[in-house]
Amino acid sequence: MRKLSLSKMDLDSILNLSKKKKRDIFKKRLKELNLPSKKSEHYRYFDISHLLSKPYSLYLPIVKETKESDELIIEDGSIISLPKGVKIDVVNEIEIDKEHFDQIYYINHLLSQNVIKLTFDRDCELKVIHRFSKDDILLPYRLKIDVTNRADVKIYEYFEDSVKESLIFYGLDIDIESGSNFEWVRIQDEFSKSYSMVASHFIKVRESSKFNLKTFDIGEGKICHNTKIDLFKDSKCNANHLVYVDNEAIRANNIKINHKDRNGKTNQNARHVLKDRSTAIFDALIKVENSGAKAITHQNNRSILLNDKAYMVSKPQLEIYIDDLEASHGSTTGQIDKDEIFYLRSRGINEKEAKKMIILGFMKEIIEEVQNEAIRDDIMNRFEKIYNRDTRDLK
Amino acid sequence: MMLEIKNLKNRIGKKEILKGLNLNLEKGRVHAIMGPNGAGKSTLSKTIVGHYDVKVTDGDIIYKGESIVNMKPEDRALRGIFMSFQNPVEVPGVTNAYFLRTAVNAKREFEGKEPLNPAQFLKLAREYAEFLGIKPEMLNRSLNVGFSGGEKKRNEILQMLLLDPDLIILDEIDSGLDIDALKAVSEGINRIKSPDKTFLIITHYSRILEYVKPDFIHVLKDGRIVKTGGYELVEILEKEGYKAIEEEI
Ligand SMILES: Nc1ncnc2c1ncn2[C@@H]1O[C@H](COP(=O)(O)OP(=O)(O)O)[C@@H](O)[C@H]1O
Ligand SMILES: [Mg+2]
Repeated sequence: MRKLSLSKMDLDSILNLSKKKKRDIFKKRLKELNLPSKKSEHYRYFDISHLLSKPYSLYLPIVKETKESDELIIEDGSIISLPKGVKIDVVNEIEIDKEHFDQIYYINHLLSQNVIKLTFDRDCELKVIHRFSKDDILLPYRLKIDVTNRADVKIYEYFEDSVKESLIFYGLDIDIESGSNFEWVRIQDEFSKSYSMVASHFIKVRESSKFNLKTFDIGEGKICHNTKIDLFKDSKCNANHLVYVDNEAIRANNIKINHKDRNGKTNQNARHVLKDRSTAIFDALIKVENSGAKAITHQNNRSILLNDKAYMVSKPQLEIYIDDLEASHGSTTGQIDKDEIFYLRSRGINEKEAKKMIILGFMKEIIEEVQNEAIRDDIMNRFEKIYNRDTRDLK
Repeated sequence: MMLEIKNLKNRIGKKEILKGLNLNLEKGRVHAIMGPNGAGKSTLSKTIVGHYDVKVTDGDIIYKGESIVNMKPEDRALRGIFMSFQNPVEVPGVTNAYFLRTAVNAKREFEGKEPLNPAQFLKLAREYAEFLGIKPEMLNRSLNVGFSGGEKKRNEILQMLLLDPDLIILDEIDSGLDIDALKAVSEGINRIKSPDKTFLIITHYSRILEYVKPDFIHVLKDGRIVKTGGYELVEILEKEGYKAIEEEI
C-alpha cells in the first residue's frame, strides 16, 4: 500500500486523492482556510502538523456483509453489524457545510467515498460502537444522520480498541428536521498514547428542533473534535462536556455554535479534570448573528488541575452582533478547593478519599445530565476507573 | 481532663494570633468562649481541629492525654473531636447522605465496628433530621449547596449527632439563626450532652447560652484567655462590654 504524509502534499495532490467529480467547493474552502497547521486557531495547541507529517497507508473502508446485533458496530469504518429496523444506506455524495471552520472536515469528505447514512423517522435509542484493528493507517470515514418526522432520537457512541500509530479522520453530518429531537452522547475513552483522531462534525438544528450534545472524553490519546452547530428559528442546543485526561493526553474540543435565526437557545457547560502532563483544549465560540434576535446563550467552563504540569487551554467566547439577547459566559481553572478537602477531613474522611469524593462529585454533575440510567452508570464507572488508575509508572 | 491547652502560640501567615493561651476543658462540662471580633476565637477552634491555615509555633494541645498538634485533621476527628464551621463550605456533586455515611463509617471502622449499610444509615439519619427540623430531601441534595444559613447550621448539628463526638466545638453556631433554628440547634446540643462529652461554645451573644447552660465562661482577648468565671460573667459582658474585663486585668 502506498504511504502518504499529508503535510508534504500540496492542495492539488490532496484534491487528486479523491474520486469525487465535484471538487470545486473543496478547492475553494481549502484555499480560503489554508491547509491544516498550527496557524489555524483551532490547531494552535493541538499538534496537527506533527500528526500529518507521519507517513500512513491510506485505508479506505469497503462495504461489508452485515450481521444482526443489538448495537450498530462499525469496524475500521465499515458497518459489520446492526440492529433490525435501523435504516442504513451507503452513499457517495452528501450535502456538506460550505462554511465549516475546519480544513479536515473538507479533507475527510474528499477522502470518504462511502458515507454511512442513517435515517431516523421514529423515536429510537441506539448504541453505536466504533472499533479499530489496524496499525499505521490513515482511516477516513464519516456518518450522516438525518432525523425526520418529529422523531426523538438518542445515540450513545462508544469507541473501542487501541491501535498504534494510526490516524483516524472521522465525523458526523447531522440534519435535525423541524420539530425533531436529537441527543448525541459520545463516550471516548482511550488509553493508547499513539492513537490519534481528528473528527469534524456539522450539525444543522432546524426550526423548532432540539439538539443535545453530551461528550465524555477520558484517558489519553491525541484526539481533536471540531464541531460546528447551526441553530435556526426557535431551536435549542444543550451542550455538556466532561473531560478527564491523564499521562500525556492531548484532547481538544473546538466548538462553534451559530445562532442563525431568532429565538435560539444555547446552554453549554464544560468541566475538565487534568492529571500528569496532559493537555486539554476547550475552545468554544457562540456566535449570535444579526438575524439571531432574542437569543439566550449561557456558556461556562470549570477546570481542575490535579498536577502543576497539566495544561488547560480554556477559551469560552461569545461573539454578538445584536443587543436583543440574554447572554453569559465564564471560565475558572484551579486546584481542588482546599476548604472542601478540609471540611471532609475534619469529619474523619482521609485526604485521599476526600479528594476522590470532591473530584467525582465535580464530574457527576455533568454525568447526571444523561437520562438513560444504564448508560449513566456506565459513564460514572469509566470516570471512577480512570480516577483510580495509577499513572505514575506510565510513560 | 478532656483538653489541655498549654501556652499555645500560633500564627496565620505572618501574623501572630494566639499569644500564649492556656485553657483546660473538663470532661462532662460546657465551656463558653466569648470575646470581641478578631480576638482569635475561630483561630483557637481551627487550631484544635488542625486547620491548614494555622501554624503552631509554641505550646501544646493535649486531648485525652495525647498531644495532637502534629496530628492530621481526620485522625483528630476519628478520635472524637468535632467542630461546627462558622461558614460550612458547599461541596457540589457529593450528596449529603453519601458524605454523612462515609464519615460515619470512617469513624465506625476506626472504632472496629461494622459499617452501616445505606438502609441502616438512612434510618438513623432520617430520625435525627426530623428531630432537627431538616426536611428529608435535604439528605439527597449536594452537601450544603444552596442551603440557607439556618439549614447549613442545622446540618452541622446533624453531623454532630451522627458522629457522636466527645469534644464538640461550636463556632458561632447561633449567628444568623432565627428563633426556630436556634431552638432546634440547642435541642440537638442538649440531646447529646452527657458526662462523657465536653462542649466548647464560641459565641458573640448570650442568646444560645440561655438554652445551653454553660458551666464556665472564658473571655478571649488579644490572643489570650483573660478571664474565666461562671454564668454571671455573661451578664457583666452584656452590660459593660469587653472594656470592663480589660480594666480588671
Ligand atoms: N486566613 C487568615 N488570613 C489572615 N488573617 C487571618 C486569617 N484568619 C484570621 N485572621 C486574622 O486573625 C485574627 C483572629 O481572627 P479570628 O480567629 O477569626 O477572630 P474571631 O473568631 O475571634 O473573630 C484576626 O485579626 C483576623 O483578621
Ligand atoms: Mg470567628
